[in-house]
Amino acid sequence: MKDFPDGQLFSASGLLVMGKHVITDPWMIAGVMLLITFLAAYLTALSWADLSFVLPATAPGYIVTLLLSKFYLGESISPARWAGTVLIVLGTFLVARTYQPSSSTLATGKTGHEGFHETLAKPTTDALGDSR
Amino acid sequence: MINFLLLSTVILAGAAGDVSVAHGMKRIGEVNRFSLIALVRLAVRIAKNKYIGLGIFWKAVAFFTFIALLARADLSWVAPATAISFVVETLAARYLLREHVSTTRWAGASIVCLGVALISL
Repeated sequence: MKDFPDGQLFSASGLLVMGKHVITDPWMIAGVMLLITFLAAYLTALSWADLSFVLPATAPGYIVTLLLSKFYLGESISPARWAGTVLIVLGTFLVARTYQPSSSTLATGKTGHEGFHETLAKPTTDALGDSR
Repeated sequence: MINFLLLSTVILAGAAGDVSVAHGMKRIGEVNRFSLIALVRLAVRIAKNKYIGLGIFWKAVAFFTFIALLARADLSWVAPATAISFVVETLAARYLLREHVSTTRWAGASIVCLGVALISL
C-alpha cells in the first residue's frame, strides 16, 4: 500500500484505481494469499486443539518477525528483545508439553442444534475435568 | 484514559473474536480430510457458521480500534501492552469455553505474555 499514491483515495475514481492496484500488485496478492493461508491453518489448528493451547503455541511467530526484521530489514535487536525471545521459547515449550486434543466440554458439536449461550447456561458436571 | 479504554477494547474484542471462532471450529469438528471437494465443503460450512462470522466481526472491531489507538499512542506502548491478551484469552478459554488449563499451561501462557511484551518494546 506504500506504493499507492496518497490523496484522491476517497473519490470514486481513486477507489477504482486502488481496487485495480490491490488485485494486480504482486506484493498485495502475495500478502492476501499469505493471510488466507494463515486463516486456514489457524482455523484447522483450532479444530484440533484448545484455544488456550493454540494461542501461546503460535507465539514463536513473534520471533520469526524479529529475525526477519533483523536479517531482511537490517534492524538491530536490543537485549530486551533477545530476553523476550528467550521467554517466548521457554513459555511455548511449557505450553507444548500440555498438548491434548480438545479438552473443552462444550466442544465437538454433538447435535449442532443447541446455541452457545444455552450450552453455557447448563454447566455439565465434568465441566472442570480434562479427561476424555 | 481514552487510550486505556481503547486498549481494553482491543484486548476484549480480540478475545471475544478468538473465543467465538474457536467455538465455531469446535462445532464444525476436526478438520481431517484434505481432498479438494472436502475442503470446499468445509469452506462453505465455515462461511455459514454464525460463531465464526461473529468472531470475525469482533476481530474487525479489535483491528480498527487498534488502528485508532495507534493514531493516538506510541507503538512502543501499544504493542507490549496488547501482550496482556495472552492472559486475558487464556482466562476466556478457561471460563467461557470451559477448557482445562493446567498449571503448566498457565505458566507457559504467562511467560509467553511477558516475552511478547519484551519483544515488542
